[in-house]
Amino acid sequence: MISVPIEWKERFDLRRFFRGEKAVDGPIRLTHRRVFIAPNRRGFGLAVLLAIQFLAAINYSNNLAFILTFLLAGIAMQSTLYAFRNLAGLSVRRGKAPPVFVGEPARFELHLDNPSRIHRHGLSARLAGAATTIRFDVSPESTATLTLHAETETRGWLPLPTVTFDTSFPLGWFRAWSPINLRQRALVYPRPAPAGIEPPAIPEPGSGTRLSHSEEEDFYGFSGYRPGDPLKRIHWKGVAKGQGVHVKQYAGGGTAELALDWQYTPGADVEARLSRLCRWVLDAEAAGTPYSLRLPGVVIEKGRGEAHRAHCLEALALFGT
Amino acid sequence: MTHPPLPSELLRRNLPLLCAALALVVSPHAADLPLDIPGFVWLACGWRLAALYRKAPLPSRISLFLLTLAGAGLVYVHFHKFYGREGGTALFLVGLGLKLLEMRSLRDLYLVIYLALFVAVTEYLFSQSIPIAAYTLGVVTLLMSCLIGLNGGESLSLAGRLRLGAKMVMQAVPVMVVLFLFLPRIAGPLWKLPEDEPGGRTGLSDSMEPGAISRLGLSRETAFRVDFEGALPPPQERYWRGPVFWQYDGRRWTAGYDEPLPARRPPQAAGASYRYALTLEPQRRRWVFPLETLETFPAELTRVEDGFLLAAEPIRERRRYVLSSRPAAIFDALSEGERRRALQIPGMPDERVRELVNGWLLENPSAEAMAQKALRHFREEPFIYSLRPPAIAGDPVAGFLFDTRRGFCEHYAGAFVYLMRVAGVPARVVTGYQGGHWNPVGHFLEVAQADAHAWAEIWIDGDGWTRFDPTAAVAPERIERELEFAAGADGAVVFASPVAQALGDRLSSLRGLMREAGLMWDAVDHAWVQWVLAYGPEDQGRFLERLGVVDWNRLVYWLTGLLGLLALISFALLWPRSRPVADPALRLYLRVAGKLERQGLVRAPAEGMRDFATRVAQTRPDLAEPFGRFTALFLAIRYGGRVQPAALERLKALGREIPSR
Repeated sequence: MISVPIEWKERFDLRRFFRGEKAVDGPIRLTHRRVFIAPNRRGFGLAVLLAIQFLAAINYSNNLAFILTFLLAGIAMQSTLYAFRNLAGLSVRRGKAPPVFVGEPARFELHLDNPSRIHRHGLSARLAGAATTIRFDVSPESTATLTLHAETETRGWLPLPTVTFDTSFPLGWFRAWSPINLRQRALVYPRPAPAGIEPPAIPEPGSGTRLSHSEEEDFYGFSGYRPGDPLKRIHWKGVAKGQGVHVKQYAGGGTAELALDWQYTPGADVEARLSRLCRWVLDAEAAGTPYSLRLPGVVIEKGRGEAHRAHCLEALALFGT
Repeated sequence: MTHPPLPSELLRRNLPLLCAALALVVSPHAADLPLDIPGFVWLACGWRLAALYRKAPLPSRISLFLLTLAGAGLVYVHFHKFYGREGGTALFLVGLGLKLLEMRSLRDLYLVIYLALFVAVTEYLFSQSIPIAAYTLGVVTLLMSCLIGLNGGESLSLAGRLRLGAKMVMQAVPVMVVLFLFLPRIAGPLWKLPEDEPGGRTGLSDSMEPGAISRLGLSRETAFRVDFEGALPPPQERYWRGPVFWQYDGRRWTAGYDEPLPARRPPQAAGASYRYALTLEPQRRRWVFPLETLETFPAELTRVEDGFLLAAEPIRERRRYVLSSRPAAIFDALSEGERRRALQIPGMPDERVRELVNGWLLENPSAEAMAQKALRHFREEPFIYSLRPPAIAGDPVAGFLFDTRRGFCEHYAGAFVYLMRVAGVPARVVTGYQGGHWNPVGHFLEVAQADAHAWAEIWIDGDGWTRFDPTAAVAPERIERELEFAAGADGAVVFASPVAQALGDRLSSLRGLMREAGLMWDAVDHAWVQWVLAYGPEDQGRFLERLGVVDWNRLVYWLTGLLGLLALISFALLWPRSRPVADPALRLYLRVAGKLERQGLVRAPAEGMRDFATRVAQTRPDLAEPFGRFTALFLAIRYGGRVQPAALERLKALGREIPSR
């Protein structure tokens, strides 16, 4: 597994205990360098208990009381090793991070490989800033896949925040944790504006002005299915009869295509305009209408389908960044 | 501060085990405390489980308050206080039950478990036997398993929890041993013990009255055990000295002083010396019983004028003392005050007694001859040794000497000293223990309460205090029995029928087996007491001195060194090992891949080896040639059929060509 050398300055930076090291592509193996351990509140509670037991043992000169106290101290010492071992040797790989719209939680997938024959119990993972933790176990010689959710507030690239794995297994007296920074990011599209405003007519020859797909329009004919065609236009009866997949074509209201242009988009500010454009892209895609997108400095030619939509949304997400 | 409530799922999974552990942790207290105190905890466990399974309601705030009052009342009714061994323990038990009922958060749950661990310790205030130690160890394992359940996920089965709990307890034993041996001990008590009477313990009394020792005579309870360094003294020398009685009031013998005087002039010892370690069971007194004549003893003890030892405090726990004695001793003269005390008798002696003594005085006036006369009298007249003597009316000595003539050591010693005093010979009564049973398994002498004894000493000018045992004159077997278990010839009963004979033989061999097992157990128990329970600050000092640990620095080195070593060992044992790769070629490949990894070239899990080689060639042209050849040969070996040793050597050589950096 990868093990990038660490600079001396970073090595002695106490913040490393919580923020982790610089982001790398991974996979990251959790070693002694990345796993930290400290007693938690219950551990301090145990220390108080041991102190009381020790005093009682001295007061009554009771050797069995000494023995039980020392045994518990020994168990506590063992539990630090167990807690460390519970994390040590795991390796973390990044998984998918599909794009989302602002407001939706970004989903980061992580793969945790356990190459050893040890069952890892009672692990949890948490993204920095997130409120919830995920609890999970990893069986011996297997991989656990976790999906962590991060809040999204702005469009653009959202880097994977620090992921902290931790465990209090087995006894809950010590917490072993490991903050991990993987070079992973999720694309956050602008928040789609509410439906309502139709795309404005653009005074340009050859381009349509209306988004038109109402059922009242005239049926025009069939064409072969292309990926990206809306499902609701598929001629399902034909599919059922084994005639292959065809898509119904409608005519009317001029040509069924749409030019989306920043310049003609209403909106109070940049974000509002991008939101509006985002809504139109989604609607056009849902309607199966080919559309082009024009932003300052970006021109995306007319097209349709998943890849085209992704291309347009990415341009919107990254506009101005 | 508020604490997050317990997730019900977590509670459901762990509560049964917790309740079982709590019910068990308080169970031994049923033997030491009134039954309703542990019963309170059992009830709480039952209630909590009923709430879980039957959806019965847990006590409300008001009921909890009432239960708290009831619990405190229970403790007060029994003990009239909330501290001390019994009162304090009872309070902890009641608190454990209450906390279990009002347990709401994870923090409460931990508090319950910590309380239970403390309750386990309080049991040791009542009993430190091996079975109790093993039992509490088991309960601690259960409590650890509860914690494991709380922190582990759902994939951890009950058996898995118990197994891991037991494993962790076992693995903690070496650390415990190191701490036990090395962690500096402070001699307690830290605060004044509230008058904790170790209830119902037998032992010698501070006065002698007919009947007192006979009660001990029936008790097989161990008084103390003795390990000899070297030779064992002969049976007639095994007199363990205790309190000496000077004062006779016509019925009771007492010491005649409030506090024994410290020795002014210890007798000079002469002759063979015996070194021995005395492990004393708890008693209500401060007495330590040495052999005669005491030579060396620990500084914490005081030798008193009467020849025995006094501890600073009543001996409430088992203590071990290393002593030495020499049977022969030289005394100087008896002081006037002592002579007066040693001749004291209340009032005028009985007519018959005076007559008897006057008869002896006419014949021979020497002290020793007088004593011999008295002994002969006991031997020749029909005196009977009996543990159930008849009651004596009137003057106890005269009644015993002339009417009943049945009695045991107290009667004989008392009568003997009385006779000596009437005859003008200074005499005194000595109590203590005599004899003891040799345990051949553990090589120690076990002295039971049944061995309690009383004998007499008279002052002989030139010789000093000289022991005379009138009981021996009547019942020599009481004194001279030697190694009674070594013979093993008893129990050979002859039966008429062959079946009964066979059964009898079987039975007697079973009895022999039982006796042997008993001896074995005594030996184990003695080892336990000696090496575990009696290891105190002094023993620790000696142990550390022997290791050369004389100052704090060295102690810290030893402690950290040993604990570090143990941590390293457990770490090595616990370290997660990946499955070893069996194929030598693959092992070589993985080693080379590791080298590349350190340079940032990582093979993706799905990437084929050939593809990886191509990618390496693109990103690192310098590696293209060696790694390409290496990969090609590896693929040929691994997938090309038979592996030839020469090919493996070649692969190894190629691998070495890949630079590490």
